[in-house]
Amino acid sequence: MEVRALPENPYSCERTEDELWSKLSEPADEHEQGCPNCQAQRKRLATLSLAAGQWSAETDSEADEELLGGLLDRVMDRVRTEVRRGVRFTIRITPHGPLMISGYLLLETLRDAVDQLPYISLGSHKILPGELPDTISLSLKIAIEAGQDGTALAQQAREALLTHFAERIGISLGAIDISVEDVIHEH
Amino acid sequence: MSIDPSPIAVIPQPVRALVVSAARGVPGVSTIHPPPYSTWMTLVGSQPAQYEFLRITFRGEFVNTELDIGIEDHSNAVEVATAVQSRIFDVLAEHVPSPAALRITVTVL
Repeated sequence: MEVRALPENPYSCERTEDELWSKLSEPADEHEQGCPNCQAQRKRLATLSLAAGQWSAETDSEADEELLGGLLDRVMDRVRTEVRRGVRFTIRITPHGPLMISGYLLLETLRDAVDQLPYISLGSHKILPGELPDTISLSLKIAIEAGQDGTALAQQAREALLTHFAERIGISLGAIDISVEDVIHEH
Repeated sequence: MSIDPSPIAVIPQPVRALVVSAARGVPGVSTIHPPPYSTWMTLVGSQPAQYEFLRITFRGEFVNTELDIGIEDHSNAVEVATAVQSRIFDVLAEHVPSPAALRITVTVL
């Protein structure tokens, strides 16, 4: 089988395509002005650069950003809403029908009440339907700092919960079970 | 055999949209949450119409309506929900043949 050498590229020179691309925005230097290879490559790369610029301008347009941003916001709103829909408690039944509160909001209120108290760290907690009508019950575990009176802190937590739920939700609480399950030693 | 009436026949879409708009105007309401809606529908750009936020079902003689709301910080959930429920009843009572059959569930999410 006869093997023929490929014809030598009449435009070859030592400049690489990367070098030409990086200097494409600058005027051609002395070598490039006299080198047919570099001139052909610059012309080809200029077309590519123009197309890339147009594509970039189209995808970065404000309209597209608004569209994508709006879509993300809508999806996240939907996800948050579905999370809040999880568990609901019937708080009151009026002549027009039931009023319900999501468990998510009740737990948020519980955490807000306890987190503001000093020397207490909230552990696991849950909301339960109250034994009396129009009430809910709370069950929470707390950790207290060493040297503090657990009974007094539990009483503070109970009062904070009653106040928060009355102001934020507007309901009376039934049982509030508080267990001190740990003591935190500061190092 | 009885056939349940269509929700649209009893409570037309413009009235449902009016109810949603009225609820949105109650002090303390921060948002009216959209109905359970497929995330895929959201991804393809579809959004529920205003009237769809008020969900309606029929059970026997009762017309059950449901609306999910969000409240502003420092608002009282039961007070706001009660006000929204009253507002919904006031609007719907003018458009349904039997207001006593209305059952309105308001949920604060």
